Amino acid sequence: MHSSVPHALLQLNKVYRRRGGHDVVQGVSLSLQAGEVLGLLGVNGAGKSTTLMMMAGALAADRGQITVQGRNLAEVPGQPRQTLGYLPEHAPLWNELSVTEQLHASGQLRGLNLRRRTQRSRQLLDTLHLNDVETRLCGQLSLGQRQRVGLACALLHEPPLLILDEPSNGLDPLQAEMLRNLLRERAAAGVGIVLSTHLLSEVTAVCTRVAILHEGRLQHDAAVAATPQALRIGFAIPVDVTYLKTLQGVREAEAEDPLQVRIVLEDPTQVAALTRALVAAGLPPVRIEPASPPLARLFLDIASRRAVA
Amino acid sequence: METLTVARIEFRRLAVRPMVWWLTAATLAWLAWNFIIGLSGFLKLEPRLAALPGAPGFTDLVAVPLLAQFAQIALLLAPLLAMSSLAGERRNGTLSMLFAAGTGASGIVLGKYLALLTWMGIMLLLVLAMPLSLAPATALDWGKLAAASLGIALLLATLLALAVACSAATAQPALAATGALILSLLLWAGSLAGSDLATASPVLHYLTLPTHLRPLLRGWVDTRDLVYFLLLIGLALSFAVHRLGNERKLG
Repeated sequence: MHSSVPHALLQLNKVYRRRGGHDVVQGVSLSLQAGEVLGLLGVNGAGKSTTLMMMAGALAADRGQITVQGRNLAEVPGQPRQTLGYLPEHAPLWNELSVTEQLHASGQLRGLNLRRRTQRSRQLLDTLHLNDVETRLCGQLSLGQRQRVGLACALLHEPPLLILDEPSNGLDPLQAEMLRNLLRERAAAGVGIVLSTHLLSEVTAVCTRVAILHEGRLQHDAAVAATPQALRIGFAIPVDVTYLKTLQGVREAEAEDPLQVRIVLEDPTQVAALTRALVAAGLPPVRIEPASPPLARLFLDIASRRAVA
Repeated sequence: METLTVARIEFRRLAVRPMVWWLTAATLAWLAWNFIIGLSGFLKLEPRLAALPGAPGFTDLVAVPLLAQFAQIALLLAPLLAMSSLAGERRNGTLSMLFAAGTGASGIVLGKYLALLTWMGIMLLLVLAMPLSLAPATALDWGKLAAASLGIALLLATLLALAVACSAATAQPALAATGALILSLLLWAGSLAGSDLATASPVLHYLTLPTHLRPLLRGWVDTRDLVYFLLLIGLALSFAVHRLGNERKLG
């Protein structure tokens, strides 16, 4: 099958998957380049986890093709061993093993030798602040600790592709920030990351691209920076929304009440130019503030769509 | 290679489970107690037996019955040891982690089977150590003991393969253990019917485990018996691999 993006780190080509009598994933196509962080959004049951499981090779696609570094996952079943790190929604750990043993077992599965396993385990225990619990059994860890151990297992073999399903589950704000920094650092090192999350703030903070899945279909796939800037502008006198729409750089204008308008700009840097244009038109704004984040609005728009029968 | 990796991890997990140690300790303690009882009974009989030509010796009266007892305990032990091998992985979500690590279904099944087999093999060696510890003081029938050991080893391997297959079929370890126990007991049932079963239904008689174990315990090694055990092991493990392979496809 022809790949639309040559040399993509990860490529999904019209992937379908049926589970429990439902079409969970329907014709999803997307690609990921090295160094990109793709945020995968969707309501519960949208098909995110199933899509991630297929990307990770834990589940086979019914139809379509998934390639990692140009090689078909279905044809090279052992390929994920070196090329990808996967953290499912609830970090799967062997409860009877200690944290160190878990990391070593994970390293063995990825083909790391003892020296490398020991070295990487030490590094990750430090990075993820797990030193205090390294001898504790995985079954005795808190949710946040389990999540960090799961993340350590995914990072252990330094894979070029990371697939993370809600990695900030159970993390406190400090740990969540540490995770974001870690992901930014990995992305800067050229690692491609697919990140499924319910936190829109996480997407805007970490991701370079965002994809939205709804009822198994990909509804949106664009760079986060390309998402328009939304503003809420208050006026002293009633304004004509039709006129505002004609101003340069304005993508959308919508009256929230006679003295308040919600405007979406093509480019977030155009706020000053818009203010000047409004003053010049005799409509000086009395208040300018960020409106609800556009990504949240986009997500809610998509999530509220009903399935077409 | 991946089979050995999975086996190493599984063996480590077996070695840190309290239940596995309890089962092992209880089994060995029970067999040691029975060994002592058997030995004292043999020592009482020995003067009279010595006078009879071709009378059964230490191997027939102590060593082989000890192994036969181990075989009966293994009917319960194998399902309990193997119940979590795949069902537990499925329930904990660690199966997807193994798949995502690029481990194939055959690697997972064979690795887990190998680990269980190693554990059970060590148990068999410890059981054998009891009669062997008296080898300098008794006249052991080495050939008979070797054949009986081979028979028990094959039986243990078969019971474990059946238990792994049952564990591959469900996400509930308790259900897997129950299934394996029922299956093992059904295959053992021939010993209850005795020689009547051979007359009533030769096919059923052929299918039962004791039909093929008894000759080995008597010291007769027949290729047909070996093939029976190997076939059963192969079938059970093939089912487990097939079932696990479908997990990725149907999951």
